[in-house]
Amino acid sequence: MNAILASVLRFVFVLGALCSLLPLNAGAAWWEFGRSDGEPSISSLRFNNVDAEQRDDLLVLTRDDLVGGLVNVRGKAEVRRGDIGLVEISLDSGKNWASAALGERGLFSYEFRPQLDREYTFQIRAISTTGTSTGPEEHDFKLLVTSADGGREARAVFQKLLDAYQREDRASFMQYVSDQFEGNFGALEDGLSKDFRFLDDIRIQTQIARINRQERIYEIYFTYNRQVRSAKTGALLKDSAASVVGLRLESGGMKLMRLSAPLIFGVSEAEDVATSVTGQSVGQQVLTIDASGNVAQASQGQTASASGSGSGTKVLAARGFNSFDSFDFDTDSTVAETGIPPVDGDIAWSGEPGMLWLRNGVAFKAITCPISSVQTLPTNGFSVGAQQIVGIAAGRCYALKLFSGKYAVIEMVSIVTSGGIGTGTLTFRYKYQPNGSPNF
Amino acid sequence: MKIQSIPVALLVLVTAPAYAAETDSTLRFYNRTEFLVQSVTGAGKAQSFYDPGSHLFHETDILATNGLGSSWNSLFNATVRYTDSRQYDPDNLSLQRIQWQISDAQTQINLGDYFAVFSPYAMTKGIKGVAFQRNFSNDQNYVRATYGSFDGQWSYLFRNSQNEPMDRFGGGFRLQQAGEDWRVGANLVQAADRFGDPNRRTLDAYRQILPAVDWEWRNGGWLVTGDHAYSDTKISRADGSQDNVSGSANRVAFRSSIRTFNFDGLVERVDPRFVTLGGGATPDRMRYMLRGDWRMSALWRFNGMTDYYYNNLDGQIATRTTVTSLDLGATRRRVFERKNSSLSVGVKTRGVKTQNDTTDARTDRLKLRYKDRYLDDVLDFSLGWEKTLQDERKGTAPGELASYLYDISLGMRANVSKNWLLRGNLDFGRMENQNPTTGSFDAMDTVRLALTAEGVAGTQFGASIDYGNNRLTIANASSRVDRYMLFWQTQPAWTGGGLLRAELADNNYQFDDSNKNFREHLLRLVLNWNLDVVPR
Repeated sequence: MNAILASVLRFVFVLGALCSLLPLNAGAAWWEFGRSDGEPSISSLRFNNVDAEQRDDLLVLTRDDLVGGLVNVRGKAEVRRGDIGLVEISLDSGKNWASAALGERGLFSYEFRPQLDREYTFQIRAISTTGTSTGPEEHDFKLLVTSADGGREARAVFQKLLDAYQREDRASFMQYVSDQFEGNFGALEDGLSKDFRFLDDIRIQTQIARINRQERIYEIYFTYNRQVRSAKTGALLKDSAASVVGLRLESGGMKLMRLSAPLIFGVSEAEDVATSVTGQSVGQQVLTIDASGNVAQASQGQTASASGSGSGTKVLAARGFNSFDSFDFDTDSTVAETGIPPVDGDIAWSGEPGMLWLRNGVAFKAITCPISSVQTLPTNGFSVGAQQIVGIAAGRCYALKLFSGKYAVIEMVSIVTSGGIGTGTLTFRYKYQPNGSPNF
Repeated sequence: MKIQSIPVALLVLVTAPAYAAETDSTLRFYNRTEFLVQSVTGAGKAQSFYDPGSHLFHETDILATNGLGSSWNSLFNATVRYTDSRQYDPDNLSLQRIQWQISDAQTQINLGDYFAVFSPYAMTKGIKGVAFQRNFSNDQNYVRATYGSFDGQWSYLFRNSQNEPMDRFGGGFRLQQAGEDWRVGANLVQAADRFGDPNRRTLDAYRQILPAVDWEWRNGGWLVTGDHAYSDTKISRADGSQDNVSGSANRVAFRSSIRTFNFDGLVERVDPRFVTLGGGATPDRMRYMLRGDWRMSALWRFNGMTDYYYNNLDGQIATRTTVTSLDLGATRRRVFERKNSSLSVGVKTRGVKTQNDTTDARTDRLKLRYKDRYLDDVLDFSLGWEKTLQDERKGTAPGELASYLYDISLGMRANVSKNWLLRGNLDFGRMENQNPTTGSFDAMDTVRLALTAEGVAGTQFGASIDYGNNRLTIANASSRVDRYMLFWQTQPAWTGGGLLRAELADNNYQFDDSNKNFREHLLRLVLNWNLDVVPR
């Protein structure tokens, strides 16, 4: 709870500091700094069923938003002293003004037939019976009614997101992300930054299978082929799977609302960006990026993060002096190492028959075989600080506590040396628990 | 179980009445044809993403509607795809979608593809199967039932393909009642994997029952919604062991508009053992989120957001990870006395911390953006700057890393004659990322120039040039990608509302090591054409 309290205090402090910079007007309501009692305001503004209060400097409507080809602008103008006498609307940046129909208590409405794909500069002003006006700057924005239906607009914005991502252009990408993004917005920004830091030459080709609409949300079901280059190693990696993105038609246009795993954007922060998993892709090999920028492939799990497949059999090869494989449980990947102890994988075999190397921070203890019977590990009794397990042999089993705090168990299947010490293969079975629990 | 005959039966059932009906009938074909010629040259051409050669891609949507007499209507929709490129689709010929719906004012019956919308936790999913909905008085009061396969591709139902996931089937019931300012839905969902499916490989198989209730209440400027679900799941592990897990998920969210204030927020708790096969939820999470927006005056607008969540709700895993985010921003319009200008300032901070001190990282971000319009809105200008500081106090690579983002965008939109609109964009971007290994900065520069001329009859000409430069200190290497693209597009009447487009692209990849260089030449011809067999 301390973190919440600290956040709230920070929020209040910065808000207070910003408010202290503002010119206060003694005659105004406390929430309307800078406005006098006699100055009118537009307190509500809708274009058919679209709330224009939420827009920035552009309001986008689609053909689906029109009613009989018409836009009905309606809302409410208010003034604290006196009455609203006139509401006027301009569609050409204030060159021409037309009066809106004015009802009781400042309610107004104005109807027009827009030309599709034409950009209007919309302005509205309310004038009180004492002659005071809101001024046109109160609501001065671009209005665009696109000829595309929502599905086509969703398809077009998805393509723009893909283009910006492949150009590694985060600023352009974030223009199409909703403030109401259902994952963590900051995690998406961090994820993009890290993706662009750790990936190079990103190429993604998608095939949209279908687009489903639920009110103003469009869910795009697609399959993708992707190729990236690891900035750290220069290695090319490819994956192919199915996924879903959700876009919402907002007053500022179609925006990215949610992402499903496996992710095609924000891969580095998968757990905090994705809000669901595409069932069709569970078990598929998809790209992962760990905190150190290692790019690998791992099995897509039932939760958002692509975690290790949980169990399997792996082979580590030793190819001679300082050239051997290590295995990373978190990313379910085999990595080439050039020295001991391993730095990219958790365990490594350098070709010495009785010795298994451990990454710094990995603890171990011997357990009873087979690992298929292991249900729960005791969390104490691990050898901490050892860089290797000595005396490994086929049929021996070990529990590992990884640097990340997660647990794995391994069972040696065979150790084969060829051409002397330093070359050969070690085969082992393993189980890995990605959620950090000692329960398997 | 492989279902061989459903699509054929559907086609027979649907197309017959489509032709037989005398009135209110339409049969429309939407066709998208792409012809691609891809050539790759250079010593490093094996690294290209593209398959060299020429490829064809074609999709046809069939849409048939007709009255079935009395008040019943039929709607049939199918999409068929053909391609000779495995990069587009592993199957040459595939059925992407097939759905048939018959309905009257109160009843709807669906066969084939159906988007099952229950509550978000229970099911929001495209399925292939059957669905039925009966409205009581209007479409807000109904009972809905559905059952089918969760497979994403129809081909998975016909044959075993290499990439096919384990078979999963599911469905359920939803009963919704709604009044003028409220709505309540009761849901019951069942879903199960086919345990004996050879495509299961080493995956766990699930079988579950999930009851859920969702509700909504509106009053004045308030909208409050809730979703509550409980899952009882049997898991068959890959090693032969079995597990029964059950858990609940609860979420209450609100949105409010009060004069110049807009708020929204949510509180959510999802048990670690809550599993949803048809819906969406992040298990093992307690989350609080509050977001606000205040349009203080014509000139000032403020926004703020705090998002706080953590896992390890039942203490079963090694440590708890807590994420705290806080965003604050302000926008001032009409800065420098310029009518269309605005300046936005935003500060964001996001921290990730584990209870056992293996991770303690924070990202702080400061953003500035200035926007303006000139020459009677012909030109628009945007200037952005951002500094990000990643401070990893504990973890795999402790230390501080800075990154900077700069972007300048100049846009133009002008009517050059009565019939032509000219659009242009010139964008400069630079991203500097401090490298954790070297401490120095990796830099990425991009320049993009795009011009489009749009005619009133739908004809467009366009060209774009992208220049990108990437300098990576970690690999002590740099690379360049230059992309050029030309296109022409028109909408002749004979396409029935479709279009004809030709695109020529040239992508040139250059590296310090010239043995890696390659160049892609791409030609893409697109024809979208629609055909009405029975005119509307």
